[in-house]
Amino acid sequence: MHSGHEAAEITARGIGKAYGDFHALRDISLTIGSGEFLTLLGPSGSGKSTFLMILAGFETPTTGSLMKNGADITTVPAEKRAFGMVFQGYALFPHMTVEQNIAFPLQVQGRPDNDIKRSVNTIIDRVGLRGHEKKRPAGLSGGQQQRVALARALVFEPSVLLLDEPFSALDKNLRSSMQEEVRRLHQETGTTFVFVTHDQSEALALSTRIGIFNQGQLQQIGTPKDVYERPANRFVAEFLGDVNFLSLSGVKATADGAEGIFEGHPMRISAPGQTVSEHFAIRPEHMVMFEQAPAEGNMLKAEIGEVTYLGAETRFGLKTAGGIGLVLQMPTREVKSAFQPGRQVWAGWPANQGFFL
Amino acid sequence: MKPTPIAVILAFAVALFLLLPLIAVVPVSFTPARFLSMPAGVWSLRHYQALIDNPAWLQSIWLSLRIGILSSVIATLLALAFSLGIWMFRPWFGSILFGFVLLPMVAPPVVSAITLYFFLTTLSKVNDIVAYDTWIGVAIAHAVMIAPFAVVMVTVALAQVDRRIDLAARGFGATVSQRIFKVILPNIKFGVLTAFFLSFVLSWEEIGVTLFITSVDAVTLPRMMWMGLRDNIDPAIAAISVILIGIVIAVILVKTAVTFKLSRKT
Repeated sequence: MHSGHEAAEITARGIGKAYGDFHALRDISLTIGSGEFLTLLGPSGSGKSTFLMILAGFETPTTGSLMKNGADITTVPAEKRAFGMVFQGYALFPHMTVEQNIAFPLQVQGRPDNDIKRSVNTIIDRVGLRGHEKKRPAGLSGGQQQRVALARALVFEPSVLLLDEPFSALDKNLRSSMQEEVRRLHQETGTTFVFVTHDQSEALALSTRIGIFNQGQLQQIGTPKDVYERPANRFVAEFLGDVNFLSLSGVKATADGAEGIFEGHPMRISAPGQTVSEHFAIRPEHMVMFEQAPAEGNMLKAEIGEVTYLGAETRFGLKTAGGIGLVLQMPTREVKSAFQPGRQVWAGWPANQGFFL
Repeated sequence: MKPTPIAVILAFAVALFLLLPLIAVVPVSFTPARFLSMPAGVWSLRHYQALIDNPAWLQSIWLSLRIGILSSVIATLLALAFSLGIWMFRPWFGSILFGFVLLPMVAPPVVSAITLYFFLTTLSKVNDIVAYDTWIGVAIAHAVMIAPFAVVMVTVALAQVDRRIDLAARGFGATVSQRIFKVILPNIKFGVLTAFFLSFVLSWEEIGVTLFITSVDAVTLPRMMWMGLRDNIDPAIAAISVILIGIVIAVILVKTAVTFKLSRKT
C-alpha cells in the first residue's frame, strides 16, 4: 500500500467560512503533518465538520487558502483532490455489493481491471471482509458496513483520509474495536488521517494531535497530553474532561511557578512556562484522598458529599470549608472504608499537577 | 387498532358507489341491440366483433399507443434531466424553476388546450410533421401536459436518495455522468419507471387537449370513443371500455404481485 501516493502535508492559512452574517469558521490556520493522525474535536456546531468539508473540497472557504504539499488547492474541486473519505452513516452505495462498493473509486479513476481485482482482494483481507464480498450493504452489520466504508476510502491509496464521525452509530464495544482497527490502518498505510469527532475520549485515544474547535474558532492544537494537561483556556479544559477551579489569593510568581493561598492552605505550584494567574485548575483524577494531612504537596481540607460508584473508578463530591464544591476521582480499589459521606478528609496533589487559566 | 364494523360497512359502501358505474358498462357491452342498452335476456358479442371488424378502432388504439410511448419517453427524459439538475446542483432559483415546470398541472386544461392549439397551428405553417392533427404534434402536446407529473414522481424518488452517496462518488473522483449513471439512476430506477408508466397512462386517456388539436387524421382512442358516443351511441364504446377496464385490472394485479414478491425478497 505504500507503493501508491505518498502521504500529504496540508496547510490551512486563515480559513474562514461565512453564510451571510453567520461565521461558521473564522481564521483557521494549522498544518497537518504528513502521516499525522489529526483529530478535529468540538461540540456540534463548532465548525469542525465545515472545516472537514473544506478540506474535502465540498465547500469552498470564504477567506484563506489551503495548500497540499505546498501547492494551492483552495479552489480545486473534491473530484480532483482524490482524498479518501469515510462519511457519517458510511454512505455506501446501496445498489452495489461489497466488492463493487470498494472497486468504485478505482473504476471511476480508470484503473485497469486486473489492478482493480488485485487491490480489492488485498483490502478485503486487510479489513476482514472475506466471505462478505457478494453481499449488499443492507445485509451487513454496522461494524461490517464501517469496514466497507474504510476499505472503499483506502483502496485507491489516497494521500489523505478524512473521517467524519465514523463511529457515531456504533455501540460502545464495537466502537473501541473499530478504533483499534483505524489506528492499525493508520500505522500500516502511513496516510495522513484527519478525523472529526465530538467524543473527547476517542480523540485522546487515537490522535497524534488534536485540534479543538468552538464557535468557529480553533481554540488549541496539540498532542493529547498537551491539550488535556495544559489546556489553553477554560473551554478546552472543560470540554476534555471534568476540572476543579480554585481561586488563589496572594499569588506570587516563583522561579518555576507560583505561590498562593486557598482558604488558608498555602499552595506551591510548579508550572514552568505557564502564565501565572489566580485561576488554578486541577483535574479530579489528579487529586488523591487522605484521612490525615499528607506530609508534602498541596492539600486542602474538605467534607465528602456524594459518592458515585463508576466501576473501575469512584467519584467523590467534596465541599471545602469555604463552601466550594470540588470533584475527586480515584481508582475504586484504593477507596478506603472511611471515605463515607459526611467525613472530613484531605485532598492533596503534587506540586507539578494542575494548570493556570 | 381494528376498524369497527360500521367503518368496514362504510368503506365497502363507498367502494361500491365508485365501482357501480364502471360495472354497469359490462352488461351494456353484451347487448344485442344497435344502441346503448341493457341486454334483455339475450347476450351478444357483436360489439366485440365490431371492434375487430372496424379498422378505425384498431387504428386509433395503435395511434394512442404510439403517442403514449413517444410522449411519456419525452416527458420522462425531460423530468429526469430537470430533477437531476436541481437535485445535484441545487441552484438558488431552483424552487422558481420548479414552479414554472408545474404550471401545466395547475393551469385550467382549456387554457392549456387553446395555447397548444395556437402553438401547433402556427407550426403547421412551416412543417407537416410537428403540426396540428399529426401524431407527433399530439405527442408533443401530451408531453407538455404530463411532464409535471413525471417531474413530481422523479423528484419524490430523488428525495429518498441519501445525498452523501453522491458526495462520496464525487470525493472518489467520479465525473457528473458517472455520478448520474453509476450512482443516482440505479437508486431511483423504480421511481423513473413509475414516472414513465404514469405518463403513459395520462397520455393514453387524455381527451381535453386532444379535442382541440386533432381533427380527422389523428384520432386517438379516447377521441374515437368520444366521437362514437356523440354521433351514434355505439355500444362498441361499452365493449372497448370493458376491455380497457380488464387491462387496467390485469396491470394492477401484476404490479401488486411483483411488489409483493419484491418486498418479500428484501
